[in-house]
Amino acid sequence: MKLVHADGHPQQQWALTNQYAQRIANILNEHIEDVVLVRTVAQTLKQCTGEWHDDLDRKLSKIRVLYTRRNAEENIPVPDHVTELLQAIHELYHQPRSALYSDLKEQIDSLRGAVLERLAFELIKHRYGENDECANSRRFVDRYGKVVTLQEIDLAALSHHRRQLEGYECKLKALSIENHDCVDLAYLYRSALEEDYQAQVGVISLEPSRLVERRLRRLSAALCIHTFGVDALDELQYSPFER
Amino acid sequence: MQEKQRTNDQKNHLRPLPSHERYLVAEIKKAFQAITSSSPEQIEQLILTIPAQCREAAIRLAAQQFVYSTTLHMLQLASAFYQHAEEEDMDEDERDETLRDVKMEAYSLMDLTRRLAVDTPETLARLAEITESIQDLSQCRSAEEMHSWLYDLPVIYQESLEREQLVQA
Repeated sequence: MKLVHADGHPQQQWALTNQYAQRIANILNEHIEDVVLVRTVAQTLKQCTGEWHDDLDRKLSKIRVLYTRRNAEENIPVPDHVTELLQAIHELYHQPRSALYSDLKEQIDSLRGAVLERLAFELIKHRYGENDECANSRRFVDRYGKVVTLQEIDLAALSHHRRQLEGYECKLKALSIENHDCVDLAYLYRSALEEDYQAQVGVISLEPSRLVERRLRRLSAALCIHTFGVDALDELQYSPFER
Repeated sequence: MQEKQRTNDQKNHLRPLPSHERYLVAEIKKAFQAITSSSPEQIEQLILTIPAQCREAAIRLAAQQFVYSTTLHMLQLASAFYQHAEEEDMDEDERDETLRDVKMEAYSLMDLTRRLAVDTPETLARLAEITESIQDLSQCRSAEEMHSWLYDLPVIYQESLEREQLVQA
């Protein structure tokens, strides 16, 4: 089994390396146990789309209130990481349009998706070493050189020496999960087993796990596909092969 | 269309209330109008004017109103979700499973009132800020948005209150 660069869209590559998407992902990764922060930011990213984000700043100010504590004598400052995170989200929606995009709405939507993909990457990358591979937007190729997944996988990781692989689709919303996503993941899982790799495949989403699980059930998805909703993102930090 | 509506309602035990129950609800409304209620102005007056010996009880009462208001907000969200889900052709099973989950979450929100640790103007003011912010954040435009907020709202609210020790663990 091998990982190869997906041709991908240049827009997607641009979004994945965007400084604000990266900063948001880094801060959420460092504070993944903070349920209030992760879930309120997740809701904001889902609700404020490229098409409609008029109330973005109001939402950010409400999240800020949740971290504005005070005691009888003085206001306790909002933690720096919260201020930095909210600022980065604001910037994400207000950057000038890149020449790669035909309109700003498309750019914003691309960046929203990139935040989740980068966060997922940050959550698992520490489990892979120098001789391993872990990256966004890759294709798996089998031992015969045949492409295993029709579309690129949003997050892929491969360890030859441990003979383990992981592949995930990242979706902001449960309703965005399509049948072909499930088919690809199930095929990757089967191919991995055929080559004696341990494998975990799944869907990572900013929706509650219950909604993602039910979406997969309605699509009659294979049981090998795991769910990591907004309430289970922290589980990605731990190896599924050492349980 | 009407036939479909009737079938859905029967399936979900959400058929219109029988006439005697509608009568009872109207009577309950009348009683609500007649009894001592808790408008924002009345709560404010109560806290400002009540003798110091009873102020803590008034603050605790006001705190409970904030938590009840969040439960009411969630149930209104569930009601709007039901209507929007139908208009937006959401899968009926998905809608019904969500409403079953909501019932449990609403009870857990109501349970927060028993655990409140709010007895000073400072803690009450903080509870007010958190409640207002979370209700504002969870304003929704579509069934899809309501769907996920119905799961996130109770968790975010409870976690926010616990983090600031406004409820006992």
